[in-house]
Amino acid sequence: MGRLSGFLWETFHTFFRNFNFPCELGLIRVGNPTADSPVFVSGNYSLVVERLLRVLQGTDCYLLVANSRGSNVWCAAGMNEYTEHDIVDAINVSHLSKIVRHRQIIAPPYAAPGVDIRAVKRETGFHIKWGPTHLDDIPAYIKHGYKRSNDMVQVQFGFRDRLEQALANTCTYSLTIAIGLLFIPKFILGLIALIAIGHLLWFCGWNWLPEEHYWRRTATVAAIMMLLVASFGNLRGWSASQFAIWLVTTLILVVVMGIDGCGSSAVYKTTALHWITKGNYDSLFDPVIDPERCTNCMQCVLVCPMNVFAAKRTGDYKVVAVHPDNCIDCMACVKQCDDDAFFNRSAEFKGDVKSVPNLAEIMTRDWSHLKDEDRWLNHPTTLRNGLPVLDVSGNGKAEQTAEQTHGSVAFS
Amino acid sequence: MLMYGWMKFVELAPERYDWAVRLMTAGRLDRLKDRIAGMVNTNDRVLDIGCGTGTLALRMLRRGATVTGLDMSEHMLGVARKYADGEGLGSRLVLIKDSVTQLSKHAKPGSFDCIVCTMVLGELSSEYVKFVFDECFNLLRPGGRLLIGDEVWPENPFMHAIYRAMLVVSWIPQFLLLRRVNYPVSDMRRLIQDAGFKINHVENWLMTSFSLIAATKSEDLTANSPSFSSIEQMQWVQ
Repeated sequence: MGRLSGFLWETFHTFFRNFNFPCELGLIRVGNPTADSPVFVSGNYSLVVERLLRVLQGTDCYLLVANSRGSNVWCAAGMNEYTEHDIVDAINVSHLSKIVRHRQIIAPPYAAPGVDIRAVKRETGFHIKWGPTHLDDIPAYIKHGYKRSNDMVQVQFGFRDRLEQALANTCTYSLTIAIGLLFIPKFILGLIALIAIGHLLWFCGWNWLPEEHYWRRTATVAAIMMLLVASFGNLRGWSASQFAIWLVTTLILVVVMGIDGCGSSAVYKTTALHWITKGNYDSLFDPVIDPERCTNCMQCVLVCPMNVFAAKRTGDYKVVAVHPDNCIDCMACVKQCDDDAFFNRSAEFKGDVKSVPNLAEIMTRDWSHLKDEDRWLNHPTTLRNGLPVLDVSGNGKAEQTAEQTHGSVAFS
Repeated sequence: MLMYGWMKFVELAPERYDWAVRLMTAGRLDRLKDRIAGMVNTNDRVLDIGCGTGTLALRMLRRGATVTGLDMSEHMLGVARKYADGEGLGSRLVLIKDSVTQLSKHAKPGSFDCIVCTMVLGELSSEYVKFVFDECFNLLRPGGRLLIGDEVWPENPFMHAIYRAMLVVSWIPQFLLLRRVNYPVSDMRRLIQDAGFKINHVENWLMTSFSLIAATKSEDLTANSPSFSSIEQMQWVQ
């Protein structure tokens, strides 16, 4: 693509991010890969594949594009539209086992809510290794010998992501009301302008706006927006009815945006009812792990984008939930747990994740035998290779040595 | 609330799949499935690739065939099982939850008289379609038949342009209702022939891109794969 057409393509896809744009499936050779070159896997969402090919430039590797029905991997995985079947299909069709000598595929951890990696291993022999969460970190990840550093495991929602989210949401909102242009063009055009300003303020001002706690963030945005509208009306010499119409419209718009905050960003997920009644974006799922069932496979720690869990490296080697309040209900941990060790303290969950067949049963079963596990809540942790480990620096030296040897095996 | 509402709406896509497909294809898919089921014989061992909610499988069961249905969706297979059991035909239906490229793990070569596949291939790249046809060739007994019903790009450039325009128009409702876009397959006939099949019947529905292709695995496996000119019939059905 030329520079101009590339820019236009990227702009179009940024605005239409909320829609599916499938691209060709199959194995892409990047550079001059050999039988020992690494294999990355992605979904078949055009924008991401294009960006992946850009960051992979200069690395001899393979990119396996598996079917995510043209949407991003995280959404598709939760919707049960990017599963082990899709990865297995891509491996089979491309005859990957004949192309590479090794048996490892690097996957985005956002695929974890949908992909049963044990099934992939069983059916194809390929082991899935979780790569960095963020696409832009891939060059650094490669440079560090295909190891994730501390900032490559957690979810990121940086300025560029937020700006793109603002534009994409503005586009979807505008398209939804566009039909009104035929009947009340002036009002709709004004509303589209408000929608754009509102979303830019919401997402670009993300770090400066107060946390959503008793609707504080929504109220702040509403106040700023209404002030802007009122000053604009003052300049234009609006009548009282015009003031009333536009101020009420602005308020309604901001409330609608506030409810969207329950699910339209990478860092919050809850239900509209929860937001209306509680005024925050805290998720409903409150994970707790049964130590009797946990076999310390570490998958939940490896895939959690919010550092909810920590590995215990003293006494019995188990994983414990230290920050369940960080949880964003993505269900990656539950999907990856082969020991059926997850329980839910709140007994509530959003239910939009369709990839765990017995989710309702897991979410609502009795957890009263795990009251003791509360002792790990907010326990201090340290990061090692990006993974949280219970901080036991106050404990004896002998224990720490044992921990180090075991730890390096578990993380490699 | 707007994005939230849209997401909720889109999330429920599997639940409205059957009626939404019927609406989007204006009932033509039902006719296609009737045609295909009509070509299946009593006691045929049939493999239904991507059986979904079993709308085609049920039609074939009623004709006395034994059907193996394959689909990735547990939800859809559950619906298929419910329909078949409801009519007392469940004993002749085997359901497998797996993906299309895993077919050879579930059945021995030559174990089917007939393989049917409707509205599945449009979502896949041609490399995938080729892989599936190769597997079908292995799984069919010599003389066995392959019946494909899917959207196919018309070979006539003028009609091709018209369908492209229709696809753009139908993109929004299709996305909203089904959350997926089925693209017509290009070069379907060549892909079928490349796998070694002999095409003996093609039906196109006027003003749609639906196509029914019937092909046979030759009894004499040493015969060369047939060329385009060997299509015995090509008829237009209004």
